[in-house]
Amino acid sequence: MLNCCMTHLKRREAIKQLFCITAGVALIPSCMSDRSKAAILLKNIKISAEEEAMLAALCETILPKTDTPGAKELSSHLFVLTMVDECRKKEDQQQFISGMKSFQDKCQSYKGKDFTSSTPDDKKAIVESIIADKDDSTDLKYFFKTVKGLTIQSYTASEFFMTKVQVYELIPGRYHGCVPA
Amino acid sequence: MGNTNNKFDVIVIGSGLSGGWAAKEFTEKGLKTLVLERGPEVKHLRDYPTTNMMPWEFPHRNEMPQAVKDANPVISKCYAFREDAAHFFVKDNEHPYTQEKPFDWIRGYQTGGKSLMWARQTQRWSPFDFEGPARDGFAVDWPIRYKDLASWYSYVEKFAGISGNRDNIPSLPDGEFLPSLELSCVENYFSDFVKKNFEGRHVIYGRCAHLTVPQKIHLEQGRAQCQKRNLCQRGCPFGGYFSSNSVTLPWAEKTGNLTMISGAVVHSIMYDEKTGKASGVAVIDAKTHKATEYFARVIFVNAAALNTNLILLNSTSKRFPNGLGNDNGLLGKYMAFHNYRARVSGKYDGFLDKTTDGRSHTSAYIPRFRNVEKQETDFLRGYAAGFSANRGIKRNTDGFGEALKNNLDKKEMGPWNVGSHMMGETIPKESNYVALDKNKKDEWGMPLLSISIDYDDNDEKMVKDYQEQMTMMFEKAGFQDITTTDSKQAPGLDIHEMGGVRMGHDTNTSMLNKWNQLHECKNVFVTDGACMTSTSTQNPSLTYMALTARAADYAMSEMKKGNL
Repeated sequence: MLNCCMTHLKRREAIKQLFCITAGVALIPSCMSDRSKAAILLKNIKISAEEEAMLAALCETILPKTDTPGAKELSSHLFVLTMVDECRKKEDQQQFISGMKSFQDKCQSYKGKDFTSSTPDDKKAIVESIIADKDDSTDLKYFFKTVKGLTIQSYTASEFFMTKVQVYELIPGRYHGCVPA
Repeated sequence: MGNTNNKFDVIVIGSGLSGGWAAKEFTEKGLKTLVLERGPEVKHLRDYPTTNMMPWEFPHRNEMPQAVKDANPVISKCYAFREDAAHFFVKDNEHPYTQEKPFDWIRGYQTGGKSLMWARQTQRWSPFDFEGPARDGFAVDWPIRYKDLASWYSYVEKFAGISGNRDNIPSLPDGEFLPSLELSCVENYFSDFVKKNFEGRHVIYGRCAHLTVPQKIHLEQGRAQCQKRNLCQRGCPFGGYFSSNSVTLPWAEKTGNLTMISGAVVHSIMYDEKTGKASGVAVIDAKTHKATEYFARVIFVNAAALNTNLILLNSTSKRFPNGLGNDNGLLGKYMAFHNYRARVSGKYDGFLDKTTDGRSHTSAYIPRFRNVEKQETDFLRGYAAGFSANRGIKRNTDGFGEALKNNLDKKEMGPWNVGSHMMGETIPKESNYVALDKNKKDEWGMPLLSISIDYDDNDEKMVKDYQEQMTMMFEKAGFQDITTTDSKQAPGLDIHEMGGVRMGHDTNTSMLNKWNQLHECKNVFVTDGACMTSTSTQNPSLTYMALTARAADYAMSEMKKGNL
């Protein structure tokens, strides 16, 4: 078990302590017993390893690697799952899962493939069609908005963003009330 | 260190803002002082687990897990109950109480109490505030006036370190100030605008307990300049703001006269009929539930307003069947708080070529301008208000993919956001009270506190007036997109609850005399929020510090004379 863990952790080297064993979130390697369960321990929502992979792919489509890290490198999908699992009400979790199922259906009805194995162009087309849908009240829209919002937060609240793009100063040491913008 | 006979000169109940101060005064003058704190120890620097954490190190980016919120609906309403400071707040499910009417009781049970997490805003009361009840015919007359407290305000301000400007406003006396910070462009703009257009109204720098420029005394305390991190609620590695943990308790400890016991729940104050004085304090160990008694000549009750009421109500004897000193039946009555319900916000399209740099630990403050010199409106008293104007980077979240990435990396500035919140005085009434729950007890065998406190018609009128006045001022100043809100929140979230053991001249209509002594038990003093006869509009902590220092000084002079 320990060897499995080490391999798993090495793959996530870039994320460092993002999902260390804190606040009840544990990394359980998929080499362990049940391949069909997700790679993190969720308390309130249930998703499969396939659904986790789909989420990872969706997050990367929303926020891809450019010259700055993308969602895969930041494990944004794990942040999405953690926040939905631990910081959302039951009814919101249910809507998220329901919306996720709608998303899977939408992918299948597009070209008969799931999101993970779709081409980059097809992935873009699927996302574009969700955005274009004028009906904002569907579970699918809720699912997408939630994934997009939390993916954005995983980026803007990441160590990378806060040290390289918009630097967060723990100790500003100063305050000037009126300087050129 | 400890006195094996459990005998001390002074016992202080509570190590929070006022209790810590009492400990400092007594130990400084050579008195053996026991401080009893019901919560766990929080030692300055050693016990600030989150203080140097970066935002991405918090598993939920400072949001609280839903399970915690569901189990603790009351504390979850508090703005500061976040991942970085939640460990300093009392969880409702661990410390239940009875809400006869809705009341959000916000507490901190540890060394330093709420002085760890407070907002550090400090203002002196003025003559108008002490004269309020007598002039306007509510509550009872304060037995003191501003002139009795002025030198004590100076005394505590110098030691604590208070930053402010000399604004020369009669309804908000200036103090012993360290330099102020700047205000933002739009805060200054609004300040100038209000000064020019509204006689008697002022928008000033928000005075606060921060070491903008530490003085010799502060360096002696082992503190350093505030670094404007704005993470005070975590505990400060620089001691940049005032807390018991970083200022008064270490100072008391240095004297060698302090004994601190944590995890000590005070059950009651013991009364000796023969001497006509309190003999000491009965304590229950928080973990083992073992009972211990401690004895002292003088007892200062600084358990925080509602807990002080609870302890006194629970201190029954043959002489005082209704609570210590409670001959007149007023203990627990005439509670009050601050009305924090309303907010006004907007945007400003001026100064678009300017922004702020760094962080400020305060903003602007509007002293009460209603009914100051005389009664003018259809409601009594009035409200102070906060005012802040900030702008930040406008987060562009349009699109997805590479386009979204590029949008997120943009550093386009958003508009100036302006906002104000009200801090209204409430009128103490007999019908607002706390009492012992008749049936339920907590795990230490103490009755739960039953709270029956509500808004009244005066509060509703005041909310309306605040919204109208601020909206009008915002509009005239050219602010746009103005919205007003009334949170309709229950009393308590202001975290400024006061009363129950009020000061007054007359033993029939008050509990404490002008020295904060219980009328009927002269060696027991109350100097936290419970002693307040009226609430006025100021953030009260500075006044608690001054009252405590003054009462301690008096207690010591009485002890010297052999009266206590």
